[in-house]
Parts: sequence; C-alpha cells; structure tokens
Amino acid sequence: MDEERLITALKAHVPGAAQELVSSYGDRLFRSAFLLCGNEADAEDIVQETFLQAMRSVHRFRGDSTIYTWLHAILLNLTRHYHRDRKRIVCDNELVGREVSPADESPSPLDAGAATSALLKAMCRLSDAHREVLILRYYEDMKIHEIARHLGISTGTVKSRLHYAIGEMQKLLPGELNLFGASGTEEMKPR
Amino acid sequence: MNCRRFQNRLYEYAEGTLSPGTRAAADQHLARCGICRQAVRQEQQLAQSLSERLRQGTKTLALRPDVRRRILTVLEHKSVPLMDREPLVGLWNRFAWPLAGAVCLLLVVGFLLVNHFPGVRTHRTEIARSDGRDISSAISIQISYCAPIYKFRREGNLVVDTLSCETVVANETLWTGGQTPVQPTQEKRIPL
Repeated sequence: MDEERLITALKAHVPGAAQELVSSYGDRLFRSAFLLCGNEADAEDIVQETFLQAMRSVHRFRGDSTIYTWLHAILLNLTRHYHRDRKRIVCDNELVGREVSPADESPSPLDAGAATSALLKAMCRLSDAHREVLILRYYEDMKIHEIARHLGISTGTVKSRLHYAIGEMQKLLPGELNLFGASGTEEMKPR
Repeated sequence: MNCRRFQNRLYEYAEGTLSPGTRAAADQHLARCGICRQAVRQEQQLAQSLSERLRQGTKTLALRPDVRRRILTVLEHKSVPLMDREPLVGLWNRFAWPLAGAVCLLLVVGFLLVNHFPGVRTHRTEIARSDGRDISSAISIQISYCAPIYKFRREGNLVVDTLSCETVVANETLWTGGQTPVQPTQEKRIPL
C-alpha cells in the first residue's frame, strides 16, 4: 500500500490500516528510539505511544512530509519528554555490550563488534541535543536543512551541535577506535 | 572562496545540497587547498563509518511479536480520535473559546451603551419596573389645607370661644394609565 492510500485508510479507520502502519514502520522506529533513549524496554513504550498519538492525530496529517518523518517527529518529541522525566539516559548494558553481527566487508569481525558496542556506549554519554543531531545525520541520513526543520532550530545550530558531538565522541571512544576509518586518527579541524 | 567560508559549507558540500554556483566556487577552492580536501575526506569517512556502525549495532533489533500485538490492541481500543469518541466534548473544545469571546464582546458593548447613552438606561429602568407602575407617568401631588378648630371654654361666668387653624399636609402620587390611586403615602398635621 503506498503512503497516500495508507493515510486515507487510516483516516477512514479501515480495518487493517493500523496493522499495516505498524508493520511498515514499527521496526525502523524502534531502532531509532533505541538509539535515542538507550534501552529496549523504554524504546518499546515510546514506539507504542508514538503509534497511539499518530492514530489520534492522523486527521491532521496533510502529507507535507513522508509518513516516517511525521512518525519520527512524534517519536522525537516523546523521547524528549522521556529524557525530561528521567533526567539522564539509562543505557541498557546488555544491549550495548551484546554481540554485534559484523559487517560483511569488515576484515576483523571482532573489532567491528567491539567498535560498535563502544560507539553505542559513547553515544549514551552525549547530551540529548548532541545525540539527536548525530542520530538524525548519520543514522536517519537527514540533510542539514532537514534536521534543522525537524528539530525547529537553525542550520548553524545543527552544524555547531554536530561539530561538538563528533569532538565529544572522539574523546569518549577508546584510542584504537577512530571515527575516521582508515584515513587516520587526525582530529578534525575546527570549522 | 576561502577556507573559512568553505568549512562553513562543508556539510552541505559533502551531502551535495549546495547551489551550482557555490558548488563551483567550492570545487575551485578544493583544487588548491589540501586542508579542506582532507576535511571533506574526513567528513565522508565519518559519515560512512558512523552510519555503518550504527546500523550494524541496531540491525538485529526488531519489535517483539508480543509488543507488536500489544501495540495493535492498544491502537484498536484507544486510537479513536477525540472528536469521534466524545462529540460533546469535541464540540465544546472547538467552540468554547469563540463563545467566550462573543460573550465578553457583548458585555463590553452593553457596558459602553449603558454608560454613554442615558436614554438606554432610563428605558431599561422602566422595563425593570414595569410591574404596572410606569415611573415616567407618575405625578406626585402634595396637598396642604387648613382645618378650622372651634373651641369653647368657661372663664368664671363667661364662655370664651376660640377659633384656630391646623394645616394638614398630604402627599399623594397619581398614576396614569388606568391605575388605581393609592392611599396617601404621608400625612402631617402642623398646628398653627
């Protein structure tokens, strides 16, 4: 079912439309929620609340963005409430420390798994604002102006937060793991 | 374009969202600046490295079947929009503010009318007291008359008579429009 038909079906409360929505976007939202809030149990609750709010406000969706972007905006808002209530992120140690399936092209699977685990741990220690831009940029593949619109901030602020977040990640990651691939450990010049 | 301006547009250059003119200027700058070329390479490698590792770290994550079922159950029971579920509440939410605004506006206009146009106030008073007595048609009457008093008394073998006068003042209100006159509301006797 394409997006337009799905939205029409949701607005008309067609049976099965909600199931289609959850099937299409549930896992993707769950992964993003996990990265944003740091543990699986809270990510499940946030995803459930996201779908609930989406269904309640679907009559206001005008199709200005994709369904995923709309759902993700709701999820991001809920995650902020979650952080406000919790004060600090609670990372799921089992998850960030669990075995990670290596990338196919990785020459050293064990290193790749450890690097990913270390990366997730380091992200947990970032502030909410810096973690958000990092995830939107490098996980959701959003462009700078899209992130700015999504978060309601200027493009300059997005770049500034990104620059700071990358610098912090470099400090938090172990020395042997660098974010710049094989090209070296040289720190990025200030922009 | 210099290094500072290029670095300000580094993210847009790497993601390919610069305008054609700015992109050409950036390419010209890159052709002669090794530091900025290195910055572009780092940004591209960072994007690739972070993206791969984040995907790798989450690719096994999926909503558990029981969580999926729970979400669908919740959506079935609670996802009906407010307007459909509670029409009266929905209508009230929709019209409460406009209604309150209209009432406030009427109150302000009424207050201004009453204070700036006395005729309106008189009319309102007449209506308020229109229980058979119209104030504007009432005539107040005060009657004052002298009542003679003739007295006799005996002084020895003589009979002495005296004539005195007592002024009586009575207030009366005359109602027009077929109303029955009421009894004098006040009567006062003043001896002379």
